[in-house]
Amino acid sequence: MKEAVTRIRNIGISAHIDSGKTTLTERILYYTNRIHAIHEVRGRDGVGATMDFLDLERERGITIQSAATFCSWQEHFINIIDTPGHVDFTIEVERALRVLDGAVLVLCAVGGVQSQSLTVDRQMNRYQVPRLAFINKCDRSGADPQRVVEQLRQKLDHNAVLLQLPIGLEADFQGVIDLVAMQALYFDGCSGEQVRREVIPAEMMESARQAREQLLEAASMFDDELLEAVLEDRPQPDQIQRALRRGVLRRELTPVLLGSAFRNKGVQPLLDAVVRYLPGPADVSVRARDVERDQAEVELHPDPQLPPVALAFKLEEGRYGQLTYVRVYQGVIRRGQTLLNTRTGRKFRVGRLCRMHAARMEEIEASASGDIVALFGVDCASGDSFCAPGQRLLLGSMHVPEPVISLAVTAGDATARDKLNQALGKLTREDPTFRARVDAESGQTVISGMGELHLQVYLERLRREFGLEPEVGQPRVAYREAITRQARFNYVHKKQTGGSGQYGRVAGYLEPLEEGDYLFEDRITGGAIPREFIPSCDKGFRECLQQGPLIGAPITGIRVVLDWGASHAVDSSDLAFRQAAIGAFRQAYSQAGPVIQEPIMKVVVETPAEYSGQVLATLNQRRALILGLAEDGAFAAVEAEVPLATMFGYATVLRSVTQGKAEFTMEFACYRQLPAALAQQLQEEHARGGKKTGQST
Amino acid sequence: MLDDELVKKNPLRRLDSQQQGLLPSGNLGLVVAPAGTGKTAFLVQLALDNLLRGEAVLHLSVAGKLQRIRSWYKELLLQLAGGQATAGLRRVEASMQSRQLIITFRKPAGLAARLSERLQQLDAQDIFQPTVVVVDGLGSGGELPGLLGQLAGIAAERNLSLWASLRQEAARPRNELPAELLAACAVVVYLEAAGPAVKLHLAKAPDLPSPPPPLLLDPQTLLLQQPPASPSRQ
Repeated sequence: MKEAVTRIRNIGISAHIDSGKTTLTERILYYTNRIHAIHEVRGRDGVGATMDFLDLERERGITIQSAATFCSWQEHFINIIDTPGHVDFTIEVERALRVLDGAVLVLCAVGGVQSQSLTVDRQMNRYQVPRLAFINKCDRSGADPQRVVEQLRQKLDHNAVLLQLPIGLEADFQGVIDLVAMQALYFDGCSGEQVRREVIPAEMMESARQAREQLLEAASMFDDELLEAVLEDRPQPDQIQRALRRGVLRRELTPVLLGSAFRNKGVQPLLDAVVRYLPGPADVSVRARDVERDQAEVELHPDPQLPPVALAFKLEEGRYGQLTYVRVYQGVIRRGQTLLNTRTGRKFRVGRLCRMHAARMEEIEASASGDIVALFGVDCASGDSFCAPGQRLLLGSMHVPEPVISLAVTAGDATARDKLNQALGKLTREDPTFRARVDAESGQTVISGMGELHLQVYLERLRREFGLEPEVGQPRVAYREAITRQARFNYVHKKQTGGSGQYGRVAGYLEPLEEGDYLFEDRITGGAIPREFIPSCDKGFRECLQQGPLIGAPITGIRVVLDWGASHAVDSSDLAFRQAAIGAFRQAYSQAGPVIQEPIMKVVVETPAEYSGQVLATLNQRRALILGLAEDGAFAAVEAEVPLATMFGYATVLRSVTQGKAEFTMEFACYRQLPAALAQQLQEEHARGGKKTGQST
Repeated sequence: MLDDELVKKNPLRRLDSQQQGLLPSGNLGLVVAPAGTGKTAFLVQLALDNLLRGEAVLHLSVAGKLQRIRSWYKELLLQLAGGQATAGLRRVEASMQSRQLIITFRKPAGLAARLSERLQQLDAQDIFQPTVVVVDGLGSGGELPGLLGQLAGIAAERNLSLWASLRQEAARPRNELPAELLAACAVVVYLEAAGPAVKLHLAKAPDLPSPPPPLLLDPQTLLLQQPPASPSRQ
C-alpha cells in the first residue's frame, strides 16, 4: 500500500470501565465496513462484539487484551488499538500509548470523569498523546455532557471545548448540532448509518450560537488568520478546523464530541474528527538512539525511502503461531526483507506480514511508513527495536512497572507441571509485568503481577486455554530487604587442609544506596586483591542480593565498597574470592541495620459524600496514611498511601460499605519500612519455614 | 538546621515578641490581600513552620487541587532547605507526612459546618487531630462576617490556631475592612505588593499597643527578605 503518511491515523480508544468504548469500537468497525452486522457486547443474540474475541472478556463484560484493528474512513487509514480500562492492566495501556499518535478519551455522560479516567489521562500525558474526548451514553438517564466538560476542565485540567451540542438528552436524545458547520445531524437507518444534515432547530439556535462563540474563542488562540476572520465575523469551517488541529497537536486543546454508540448516534462525526484533528505519523516527532554513536539521538521520519526502523510492541500466540505487532516509525517493512533486532544483535528475515482486524487478518506484501502491522514467526521480546542491518538504533523503552504481588502455584503431577511451565512461558512473553519463576527455597512456581485482578485473570486463562487448575497459595506482597547504615566487613575464606586449597580475604563496607539497586565500587590499591579476582567478588556480592537473611526477600539499595584484601599465591581463585565476598556480605549485613520493606500503594477512593466517613474508616484500619480529601458536591475523593499487604480483598469491603457506589484505583507508590512488630512476625514465620502462611496485615 | 533558617526568616516569628506563637490557640487569624499577592504562599509557610515544630496541620483549600497544593509545600520546603534535595530533607518530609492532611472543597457553601463535621469525623476515628488549621481561598461575599464568626467558633471549641486567607478586591485600599469582619479575628495581617517585595502589615494582634512598621518579604517565598542582624526580643 502506498498511502501517503498524512492519511494514516494510529489511535487508541482509552477509557474507564463501562464507558461503552467497546460498543463504540464495534460501531466504528461497522461504519467503516469491516464487519457486517452489529452485535451487542453482552451477547444478547449469542454473538459477541468482534473486538472482544476472548470468551473471558465476553463473560466479564470487560476488555482484557489489547487488539489492533485496521479500518478506513474518508480515504484515511486508521489503526485502532483497543485498550483495557482496569488499572491492573496498565501495561497494556502503556504498550498502546507507546506506539500511538493520538487518542480518543471516552467518558460516560452520566458517570463523567471517574478514577480510571484519571489514571488513563495521566498515562496519556506521560507519553504526550494528543487527544479528543467523546462523551458517550448521552441517551442514558442522568446524562449531563456539560457537567462532564466541566470535570474535564477541573479534574483533568484540559482546555476542553465542545464541538457539538446534544439535541435532546436521555430518552430524548435525537442527534447533535455540529458547531463548526452549524448544522443539526441526525442518524437514520436501522443502525444509524445514514447521517442526515438539517437546519438547526429554532429553539436551539441561541444556545448553539453561544457555544459556537466559545468554540471560536478557544480555536482562534491557535491561528491568527482565524482570529481575524472571527473579528470580521466570517470564519470559515476549514479555518476553524485548521486552528483546532493545531491546538490538538500542541496538546493545548481537547475538542469534545457527543453521542451514544449504543443508539448509533455520533460515531461518524467522531471519525471525521479523528481524521481532521488527530495527528498522523509525520506530526509527531520520534527519536531513536544510535548505539554505534554513543546513544546519540536520531530523529526518525516516516519516509518510505529511508531505512526501516520499527518497534515490536506486542506479542501474541495465536492459532497460526507467534504474532508480533510492530509500529513502523521509518521506512517500510516488507516480506522477504532482512532486519536486525538491535537488542539481540541478530538478523532475521521477515516472513508473512499482515494487517490485523480483531480475530481476522489480511496478508499484505508491505507495510506503509508510519503504519502498524503484524509479523509472523519472529523470535523477539516485547519492546525490541528492529532496524536495517548496518545500523543499530534503539527506540526508547516502555515504562514497565515491577510486579507487586505474587502467588505460589502448584501443578498436580509431572505432566501438569510441564504444561504449566509451557503455559507460563507463553503468557509471560506477552506481558512483561506478569512473571513466573521457581522459588529456590520452596521449589514452588511463583507467579507475580500488578494486582489481585491481574493474577486472577491469568489463573482463569490457565484454566480455559490450557486446562490447568493448579493449587494456589496465599497472595504475598513483594517484600524487600534493605540496610539503613554503614557496616564494615573483613572476611577471609580459607580452606587449606592439604592439597589445593582456597584462600581469599576481602575487606570494605556496605552502605545504603539512595538511588538504584546495587553499586559495586572497587577501591583496591596496590594489588591487595589481584585484578582478575575482583569481578568474582562482585559476583559473590550479587549472589547475596537475591535472598536476604531476614525473610529471604531480595535485597536492594546497597553500595558495596571493596578497599582492602589479601590473596595467596597458589590458593587464591575466582571461587575463593566469590565465597569470601559471600561470607563478608553476611558478616556485615546484620550490622548494617537491615530492615524489611513493603510495597506501598497510592490509593484513591471515589465515593458519594455520605459514605466518606466509612471509607476513611476502612482505610484507617489498613495502616493507611491519609494524604488528602477532595470534596466535590455530592462526591468525595480520598487519597491515601496504603500498604499493599492490607489491600487484599479491598474491592469487596469497599463495595459492601458503600453499597457498591464507590470505586478505587491503586498504583504502586514506593517501598517503605515495615513496622517493627510486623517485621518481627515475618521473620519468625520465615524462621519456622512457614512461607505458605506469609501474609501480614 | 532547617529550623534555625526558618526562625530567622519567618515573618510571624519575627513579629512574635512573646515567642508564644503570634496567634494563640483557640483563635482566628486572618491574612488579607488582593489576588496574586501571596496569600497561599504565606499560609503554606505558616503551615510548614508549624509542621517543622512538630504540630499537626490541616490545610483546607476552597477550589484548590490536592496535587497543586502538595507542590506548594514541596517547593517551599525545598527553598527553605536552600534548594538542595538532600537525604536529610527527604527524612524531614517523611516525618511531616503523617502530621499533614489536605482537604479541598470545590465550593465555599456551608464551609464552616462541613469543616466542623470533618474535624469531628477525623477526631472520632482517631485518624487526624490537627492543632493548626489553615483555610485558603475565602473571597469577599455577603456571608463573610457570619463565616468568620463560625470559624472563630470552631477555633475556640477545638482549641486550634486557625488561619484564613481572604481575597480582597484590589481597588480597595488596605485597612478598610469593616470592623464587623475584624471583630471575630484575634490577628489580622495585610499583604501588599510593593515593587520588588511584598509588604506585611500587622494590623491587629493581642497585646499590640500600636501597629509595628511593615516587614518586607520576598514575593516568591513570603519569607523575610533579609534575616535581621540581631532579633530584639521586646
